[in-house]
Amino acid sequence: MFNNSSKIMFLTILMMGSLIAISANSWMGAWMGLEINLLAFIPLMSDNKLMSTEASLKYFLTQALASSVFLFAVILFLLNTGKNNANLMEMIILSSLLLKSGSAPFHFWFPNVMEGLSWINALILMTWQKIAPLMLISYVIFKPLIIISIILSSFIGALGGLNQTSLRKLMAYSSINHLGWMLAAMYNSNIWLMYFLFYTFLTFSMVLMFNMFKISYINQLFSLFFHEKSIKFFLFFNLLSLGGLPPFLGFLPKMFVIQSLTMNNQLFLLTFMVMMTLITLYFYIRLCYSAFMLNYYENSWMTFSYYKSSNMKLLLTFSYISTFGLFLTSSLYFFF
Amino acid sequence: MLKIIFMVLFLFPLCFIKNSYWMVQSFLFFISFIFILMNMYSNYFMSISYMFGSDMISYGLILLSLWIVSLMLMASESVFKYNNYVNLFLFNIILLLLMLVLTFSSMSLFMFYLFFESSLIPTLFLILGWGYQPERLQAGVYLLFYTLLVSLPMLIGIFYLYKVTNTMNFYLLNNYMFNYEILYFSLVMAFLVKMPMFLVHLWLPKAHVEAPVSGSMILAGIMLKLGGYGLLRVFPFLQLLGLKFNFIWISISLVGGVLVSLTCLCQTDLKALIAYSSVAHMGIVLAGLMTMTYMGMCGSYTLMIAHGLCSSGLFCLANISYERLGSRSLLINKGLLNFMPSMALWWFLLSSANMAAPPTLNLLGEISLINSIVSWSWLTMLMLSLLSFFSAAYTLYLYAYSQHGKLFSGVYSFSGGKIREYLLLFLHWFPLNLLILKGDMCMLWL
Amino acid sequence: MCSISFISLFFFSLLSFTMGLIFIMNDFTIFIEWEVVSMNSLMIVMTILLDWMSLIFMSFVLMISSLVIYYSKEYMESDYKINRFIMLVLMFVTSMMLLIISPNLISILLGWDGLGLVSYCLVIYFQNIKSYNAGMLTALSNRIGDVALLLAIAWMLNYGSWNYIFYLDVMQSDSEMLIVGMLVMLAAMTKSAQIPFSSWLPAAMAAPTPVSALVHSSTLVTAGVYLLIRFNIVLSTSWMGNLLLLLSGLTMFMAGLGANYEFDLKKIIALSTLSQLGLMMSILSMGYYKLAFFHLLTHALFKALLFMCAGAIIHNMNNNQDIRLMGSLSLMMPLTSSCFNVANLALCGMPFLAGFYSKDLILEMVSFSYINLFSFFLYFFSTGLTVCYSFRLVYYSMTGDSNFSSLNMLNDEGWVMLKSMMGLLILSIVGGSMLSWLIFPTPEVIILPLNLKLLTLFVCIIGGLMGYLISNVSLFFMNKALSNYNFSYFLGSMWFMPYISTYGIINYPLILGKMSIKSFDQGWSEYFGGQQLYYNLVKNSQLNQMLQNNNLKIYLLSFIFWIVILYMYMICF
Repeated sequence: MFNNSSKIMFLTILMMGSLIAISANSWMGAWMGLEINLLAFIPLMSDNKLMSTEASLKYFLTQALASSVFLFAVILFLLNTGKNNANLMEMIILSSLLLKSGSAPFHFWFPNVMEGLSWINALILMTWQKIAPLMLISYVIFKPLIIISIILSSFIGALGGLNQTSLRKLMAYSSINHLGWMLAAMYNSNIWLMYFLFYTFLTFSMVLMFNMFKISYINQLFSLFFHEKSIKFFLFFNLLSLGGLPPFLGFLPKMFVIQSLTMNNQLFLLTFMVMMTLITLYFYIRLCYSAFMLNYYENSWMTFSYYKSSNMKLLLTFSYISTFGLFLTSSLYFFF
Repeated sequence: MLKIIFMVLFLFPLCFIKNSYWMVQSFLFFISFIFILMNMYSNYFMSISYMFGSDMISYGLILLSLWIVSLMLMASESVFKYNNYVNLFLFNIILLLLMLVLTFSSMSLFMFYLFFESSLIPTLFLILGWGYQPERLQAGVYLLFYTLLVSLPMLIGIFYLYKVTNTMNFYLLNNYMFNYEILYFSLVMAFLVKMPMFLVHLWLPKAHVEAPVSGSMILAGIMLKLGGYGLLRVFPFLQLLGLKFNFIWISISLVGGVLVSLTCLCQTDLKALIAYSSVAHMGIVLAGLMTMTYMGMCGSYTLMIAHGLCSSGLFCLANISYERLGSRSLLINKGLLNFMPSMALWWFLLSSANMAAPPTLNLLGEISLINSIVSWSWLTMLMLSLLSFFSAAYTLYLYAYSQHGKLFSGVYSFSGGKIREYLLLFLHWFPLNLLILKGDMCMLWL
Repeated sequence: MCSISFISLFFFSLLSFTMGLIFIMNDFTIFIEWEVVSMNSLMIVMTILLDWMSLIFMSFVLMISSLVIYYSKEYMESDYKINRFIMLVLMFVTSMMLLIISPNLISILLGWDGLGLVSYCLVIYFQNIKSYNAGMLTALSNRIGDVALLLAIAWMLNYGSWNYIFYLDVMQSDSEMLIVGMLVMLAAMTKSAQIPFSSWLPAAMAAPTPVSALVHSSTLVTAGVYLLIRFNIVLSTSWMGNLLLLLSGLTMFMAGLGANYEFDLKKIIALSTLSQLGLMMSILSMGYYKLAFFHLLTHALFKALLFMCAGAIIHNMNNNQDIRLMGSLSLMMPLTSSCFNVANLALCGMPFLAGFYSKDLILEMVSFSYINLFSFFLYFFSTGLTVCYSFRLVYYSMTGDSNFSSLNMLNDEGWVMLKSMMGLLILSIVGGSMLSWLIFPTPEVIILPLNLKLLTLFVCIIGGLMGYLISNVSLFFMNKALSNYNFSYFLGSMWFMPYISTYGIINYPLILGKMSIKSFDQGWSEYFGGQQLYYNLVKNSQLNQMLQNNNLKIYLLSFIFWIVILYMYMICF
């Protein structure tokens, strides 16, 4: 990542843009931050051998549309001091922010763009690029549209992932599903941030694994060969954790969201979301078959010299945390 | 209670030492013997520490799980002999044991749910990792998803309970009485699928057949009882709704039990036969539990313990034949009396336990359950008589077909039964027949 | 192994007989109770009741079983696993003991289920298909009784405890007790092979002969009668007595008819057992339980002797059981055939042998009591039939020319078998009188006209003559049985009951099982469960994929629609 100095610059500008958007006092400042974010991400996307040009073009078009609608709505909002139809303003702002973050029903660009990115760029798109829009969404919670978005995001994220063989698209749909949960977490103000942190952690370890072994498709998972089968076994706990299965770490944020939604009496919405999570769990487990079946024949001619790389140590540490993290964090709660 | 939990927890490092298979098993027996000495014979939670404690039903089920897990290790010697990822296997089993012990000894409903779900994961790994056939993929998916589909609404129900009563402790919850139908269905359905009830039992034959012997033993022995234990814990505050709706579950279980007994008569796979017989027995347990009478709940607990030991023993026997003959089909596993006559004694003893012959604990459980179900409605006499009759029919079918007749002509030679196998079966049969003398331990906990 | 068990069983038999005598003299009863579980007001107890009836019965059972074990030392000596056999017989005796001494429905279940299972194991001892089928039929017929007993336990919960001894006067009037009585009667009928459950008894002859001698003559089949003896109040005060009278009378009749057409030695003896069981049950249903008990004991003695002789004969005939191949045994095996003759005569009711006291007393009480013509006919005709088939059997096997192969080794030198037969011989001669002086200290008052008094004797003599003459046919004789083939087939095959019990009912559970697998487990449960849900999800996911792939087109198309709608809106306004 750091073999190119312009990348460092663009990365810095990307982070600065998000920080500007988050810490802005007015909507104009937020818009500026969003634009800077967008402009800095485009050059980051375009330098590898995949079909990144198409991806960057799609990304630019949709995000530019979103930014312009955002600007339009912000100006209208600021002009309308009487707040007669504040609902309309909120709805337009919310729609544009939803388009920016990639939640349904405005998600159609997300899998296509993810397909054309390298794994690190995909990681940035899935995690960092969501910070600013989500923070801004938490200031304009317009219940009808948010609820539509939550329901549709969970639904589309779950169903879409069933039919995929490309890992990038699969992670895109999983991201859409988790985005639905994060939007639902906004009923009580700060839980979404915690959910987002856990989600980032888990996605980061997944992408680290995919990047290290350079796998982009499901059938490549089967030929992943380790000298010790148990390493593969433990690495794929991350995937189960992402699905929100107790006793892994991924259950903790879901538990908090479920509790907050129950306190707010949103039981039907909650049941629906939880059912959709079950479907995402299905396609995560489908990925894990190769790791959990210990007695199948594998190709042993692809050997990796991964033992000494610090990436592997980081990956294993992250897997350990995501496996036993639930008990570790609960003991933290207990002691502090 | 923490001493047991820590004892199990510290078995983990032992799993990774080379050649420590039998040491782990000996330690598990040691833990179960120590646990027997902890007297917990009352309805109140005893040995409380932090958030774990146990009362009478937890005590019996934790003891059963410790016992069966030690017997599981004795039965899976082939994993050790052929070095089939032994350390990972031990790790998996100790993890499963830890989850089960934590489930039964948790005093709060949410912790119970957490460990209830967590115990599915090591079972899934056992089936996927050490099973024999390609169908185990679908079996694992069925196991996981049937249970999760109905237990996620239970999670929501638990949080709803927390919102209304602000406590998760079993004692404090028993002071409430809820009249909310959706809460009832969400809480009860999860345990019904786990039990399993007739229409939602499809995961059980698949999972039992595809699992290795240790997986089958723990599934039949304990995992089914998690459902019954959960129902026993949850019903005190759902009694009003239980009175309204329980007739549905009783009817489905009883009729389903008869139908499943009939399917047992048509099976040719040894393990599938034993799996379907588990469904039939659990049908009676469920029906008796749902009558919410004293005898019914006590009888269901008794039959749960008895059935755990009995089915687990039958699966061990099926595995003993499988290891020698290489197939689970009844058409190949026949005439075993000619080669392994002493094993035929164990087949007979465990089969007679399966059809509730005296003096096994199954008989005590069945008598109590039949009493309570008939006292609920005399119309159930028809179903119960058919159920008992057909249970004898398919058990005798299993015994006679596998033991008597001519030996399958395609076998070469095999061992007539090792001491380890006889010890395994003896340890299954001995508590089963002796516990009836101390029947009030199983019957009088309410 | 044989000797130890023989000596100990013999000792226990003498001990319990002595105690029984003491208990009869002093009218003593001992009741030992051990509580297993007690909850709320309910007590599950394990009880031992020692009164004269149970002690005398116990002593008879132990005596016969000790002689049978001694007998099987020689009969089964070519078997590898004779120790297993002795173990099974001992377990059987234990179960029978438990059944005899329990006045409690739950502890009877201990013995009852044990009897069913152990007799199953004994019947399938020889491993061939006939034994397998016979064993399955035996076990499942007995299982019906077990289930009925379990349900009776459930109904008796109404009374708070299961000691039916204490509820004898409640039994006369209460409706729940009536249901309990009905279920117990059903259980007894299956165990003692009354109609419609009679098919297992002849089939169970596939067991080894010592097993038949012990199990199917004296112990297992009398368990049902014994249970009803304990429950006799219910029978005499309700309509169930009448029903039982009819069914057992028909059993008696059918078995007698069947034995006249049968050519297998053990089956003839089995059918004769069945006929005597019918006699016991019918006299019990009329209320004379002591007579039933008396006949039970004497019948045990001579029937066991009969089976033992049959076993010796079968051994000598090279395991052949067909009586058409036997003949002139009285010349070759004198001691065995004399025992056989004594046993047969005792069965027929020859005066002053064992069977005379019980049978004659029963028939006189029948004539003396209030009974309808049909039952009267059944009793006396069956008595005649008994003598008929006994004499037919004697004709075929004892007298006449030898039909066996000329290279034979018919001898009487099975000394061990002979000794056990001698024991039973003495008992069957003196046993009847001894018991009648014990059980009936004062004689029954019977006043009958001369015709009825002599009817018994008359029927026996006619029956004997008929039996002998029917069988005494020459080579070109037109066999009346063969010319009415259908009718004699009906009579000879026990009125088709074996076929009904096996072929008739086996279809329905199997078809229902197949339906349950195909339509439920692999059909509708999957439709509403795993497979259909998965199918729906996959279809919807493919729909989503289609939308995703065409999203640009959809967007542009919706844009055009929106423009069109705006345009129309603007035109209209």
